[in-house]
Amino acid sequence: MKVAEEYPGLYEYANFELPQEELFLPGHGLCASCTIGVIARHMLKVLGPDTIVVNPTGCAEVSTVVYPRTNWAVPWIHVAFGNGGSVASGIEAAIKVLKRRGVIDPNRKINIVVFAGDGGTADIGFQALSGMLERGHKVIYVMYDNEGYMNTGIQRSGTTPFGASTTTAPAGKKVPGNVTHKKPMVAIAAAHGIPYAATANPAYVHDMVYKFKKAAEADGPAFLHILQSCTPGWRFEPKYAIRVLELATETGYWVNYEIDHGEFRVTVPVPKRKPVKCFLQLQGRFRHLKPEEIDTIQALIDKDVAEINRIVGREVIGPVDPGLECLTPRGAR
Amino acid sequence: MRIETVWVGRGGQGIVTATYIIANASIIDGFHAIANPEFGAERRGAPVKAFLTISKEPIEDQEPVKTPHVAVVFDDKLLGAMQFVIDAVKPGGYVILNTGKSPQDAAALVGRDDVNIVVIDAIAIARKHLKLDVPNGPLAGAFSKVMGFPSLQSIREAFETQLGKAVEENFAAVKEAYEVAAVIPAKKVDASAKPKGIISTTSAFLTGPYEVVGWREVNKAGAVFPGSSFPYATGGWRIDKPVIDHSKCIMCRKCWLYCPDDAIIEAWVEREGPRGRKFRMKMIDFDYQYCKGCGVCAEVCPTGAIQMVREI
Repeated sequence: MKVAEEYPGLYEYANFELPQEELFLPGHGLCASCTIGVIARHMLKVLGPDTIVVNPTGCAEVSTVVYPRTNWAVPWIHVAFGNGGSVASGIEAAIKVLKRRGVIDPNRKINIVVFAGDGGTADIGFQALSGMLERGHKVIYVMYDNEGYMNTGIQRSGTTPFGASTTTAPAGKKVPGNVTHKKPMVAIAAAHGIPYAATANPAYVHDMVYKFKKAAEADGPAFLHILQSCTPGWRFEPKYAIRVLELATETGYWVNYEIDHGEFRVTVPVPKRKPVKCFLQLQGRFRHLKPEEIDTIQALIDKDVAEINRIVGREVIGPVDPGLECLTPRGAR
Repeated sequence: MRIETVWVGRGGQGIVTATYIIANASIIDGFHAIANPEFGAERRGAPVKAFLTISKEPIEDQEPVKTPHVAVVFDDKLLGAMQFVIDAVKPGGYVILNTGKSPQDAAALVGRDDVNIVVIDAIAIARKHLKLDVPNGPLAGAFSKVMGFPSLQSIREAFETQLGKAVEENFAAVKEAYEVAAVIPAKKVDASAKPKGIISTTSAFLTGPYEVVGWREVNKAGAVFPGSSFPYATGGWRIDKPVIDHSKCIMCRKCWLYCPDDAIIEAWVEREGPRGRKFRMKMIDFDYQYCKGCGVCAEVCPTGAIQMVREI
């Protein structure tokens, strides 16, 4: 019962059944091993068929809805890059009115989801998102973060990490790739005073699924920031799509936490961290980094981890243990 | 002299880079060259077409190639969907095909006897030298062999300017391909005959048995109905296919959890137990119609029951 003691609320969500049927149908044009497929599948499994998906332009949009076909077995609407939040607000308001007039059964629970990339959320769609959160529409905003504008040719975005080489922030002799670090989107969203904001990682599916459920049950806007690995953009072998995400959490680069009504909680504690080098060396976009630049990234992450430990009040994300093996072998049993 | 070529393959196999390298190498050799790729959203595994024209005289048009002299096919599974490219090759032209099959089988697959067919196992060569699934270097070597230009030395120089890294490994792959490419000459060439078809510019991305769903309802706000993605089989994107050893499988369903393509299914099978009793049990299997062969299932499998097996 360790889970229930340490994380009240998690346990009751930890055991629920995922339906067998798929609402994100096969036959999509996402890259081989793209984890958008994993996120969308489990999102719709949790939210069910009574869901309206609002999809701003992005990887998910261009590859799942090439005109005469669609992969979404739920109502789906395409919106422009910048107005995912606004359109979702309008849909939510319209449903509210239709319920009041008795057109729709008032007890019917309809989830409205914005499924947007990091460009459509952190950069271009930021004002629409902020307005939506401020007005308090009951919408689940899911941001899949592949750390760049990957479908238009790997340009830098607001959530590209320090040191990553992209086509608009290329690594050279003077500059080690991108010079800014990730925009803290969950902190910004939570600062609007919304009931639920969380980070998730598809490699930890149970944790992600539980956050979708909590977001659906929140009494207001919910914001989910989900890390997503991108084969062409991050330049790793397709088979490592889940491994690299696991390493993101194991190295402390990505911390799975939630802010539930102002209550901060780390949902995936890491007793001993691996050095961030493990996460970086699997990817081609960090191949150019010199040891001192890796140290800079390590320092950035140490700072973030220290901040999280300070908020929680104890050491949830442990110290770096250089003795740990980067890729623990699997399938050797 | 003017040589028009079409290169078809899948995103991530380096089609665009290959045309740039051949164009650069030809320019070093004193030709004029123009390379025009044609693709939509950048997706790994989606069909990509690139046009490359090489000429002794300056090239002033930038149109797509309609009837090429040479077609370079990066993936033998594209032959079904992109047969129009093969049909459009001029009689007496060349079809350069990357396949693991024997030359005779590959020639039967191409299905034309009035073109020269060049068969090369470029993926095996690329894996040997580069440890990567990018068959573009070896195919450039095969192109150089059958056309007689550009010279290997120019290709090497083009690698230095275009790639700037791993030049030695890429060049070793090109050289090996230059040596091992098998050429099946055309049986009968009727030089006056016209090609069977032309490459139309619009149908590049429409692959598979294609049925336009919902076009009658376009005026109803462009709504398209669920299930319309099923005819779009993405199984042709694979290089390796997953194969499961059921004796090692512990039914943890991790592969099912992490498959981005819904390509892992649980199927009921009937097995004979002790004393002749019939049992129905659940087993993991793969939906090869949609599996893109990314290998995530083999990587997350805790017992190593899933292996990736070379397919093309």
